[in-house]
Amino acid sequence: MKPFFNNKTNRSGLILIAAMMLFNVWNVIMNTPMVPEQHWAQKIFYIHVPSAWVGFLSYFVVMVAGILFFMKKDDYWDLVGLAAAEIGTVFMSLVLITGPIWATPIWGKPWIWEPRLTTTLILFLIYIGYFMMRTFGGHIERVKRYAAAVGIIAFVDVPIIFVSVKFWTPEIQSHPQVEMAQQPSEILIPFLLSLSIFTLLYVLMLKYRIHVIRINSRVRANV
Amino acid sequence: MFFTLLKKELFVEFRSREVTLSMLVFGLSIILTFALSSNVSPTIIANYAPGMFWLMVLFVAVIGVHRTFSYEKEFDAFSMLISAPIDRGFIFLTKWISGFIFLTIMEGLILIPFFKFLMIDFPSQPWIAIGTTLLINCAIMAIASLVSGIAMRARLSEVLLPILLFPLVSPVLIAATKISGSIMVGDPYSFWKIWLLIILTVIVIFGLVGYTLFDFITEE
Amino acid sequence: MYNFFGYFMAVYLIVFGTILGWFIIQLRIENRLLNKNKNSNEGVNLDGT
Repeated sequence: MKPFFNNKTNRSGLILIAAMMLFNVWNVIMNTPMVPEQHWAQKIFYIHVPSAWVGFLSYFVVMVAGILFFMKKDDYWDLVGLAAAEIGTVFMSLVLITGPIWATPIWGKPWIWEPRLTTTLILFLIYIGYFMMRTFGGHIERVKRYAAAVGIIAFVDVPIIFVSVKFWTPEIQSHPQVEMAQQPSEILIPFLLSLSIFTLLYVLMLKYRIHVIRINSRVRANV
Repeated sequence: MFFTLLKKELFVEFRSREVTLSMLVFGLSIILTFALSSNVSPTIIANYAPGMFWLMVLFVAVIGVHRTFSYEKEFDAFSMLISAPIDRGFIFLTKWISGFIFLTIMEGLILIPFFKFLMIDFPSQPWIAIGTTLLINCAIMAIASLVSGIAMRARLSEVLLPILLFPLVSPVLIAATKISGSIMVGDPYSFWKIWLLIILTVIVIFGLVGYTLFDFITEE
Repeated sequence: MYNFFGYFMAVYLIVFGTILGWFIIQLRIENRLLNKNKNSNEGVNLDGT
């Protein structure tokens, strides 16, 4: 087994994505308009929302991996599910940390039961349960099945959670930049750019993590 | 086949009444704790009452589901059950239905103490209240049966079950509180229609998902 | 700061720091695992088995 970045494609991918991320930050600092009353805090939006997008995308991948694991009975999909669950949780944690930091200047207080943040919190808690079950679930073959099932159940629940949280406190508006389509293009285009770059970063992280988990299971098997 | 399974569940319970009794006693002690620990006037309690009721139901459901599944764990009856040539989705359905029945029985018994201890008025439209409560029980039990199928054979099952269950069931909790709250004050149907739709969606989706996934979950 | 630059910096540092830290941690895990594997493999070969 070779290190992931010995491979030329992976290495150039890493360099390319690192460059794109740096360009992204430069773009946000230089080319985006300064929104009145929010100033620099509004620019948090350009990486907070893509982080949330990547988190939800990752959890979607966990669900797909779970379904494919049950259908094809191939352990590869269990690896994919685990890697996606980990990376998804990392990004969701970032959302839950940067959310209050963003909210404090905008809303005045760190936490509001805003629908998408609350959905993120609930999903995060579900995945804490996922990892606890991975650890304490018992026999490894059984745990793989349970993990796939929890991944499927969790994402199936997401739309239901979101709708119920949205109507729970209707007086709480979503964070200011909800209506994407109505945003002026000076905001929309850098945002979409950031979104795409984060997605590419996610793909790289996912492939890398799958690789490392695979090495881990092979080393364990050898020992 | 399916009805044999269901009859088995209900007869086992009918003999020992273990599950409903433990659920009932636990429910009563929760109500007592609510009454003792609340420091507020009756009007404020009336506002919190729907939430407290469903919170209690949730805790009691965890106990009940834990009991019904640990029956099987005791003599490793579960392995024998899944080696039988039946559709394993039926196991999910029987657990769901029997859990629903136990929960409903428990709620029926606990209703009067709940209203009297916390000094709340009965709702003005009792039949609608009962109907929606039954549906909500159904929804809670659908998710609970599915999750316990996963959590029960794990090591820390008593801890794992609530940890997995509560976030997953949170939309049901929100909807249940909204529905009961609206019915208590006599709001018209249009106010709580959306919440009823959410409950029905949960029942349909988790029923289907549970029925489908149970086959895969219980493979050995 | 009324222009909230501090919040902006905090968020960007946290996010990029976490992503960078993640890659570094993965690299270290990978190295450790590959070295372990390499050592045990060499041991196997030296024995002639």
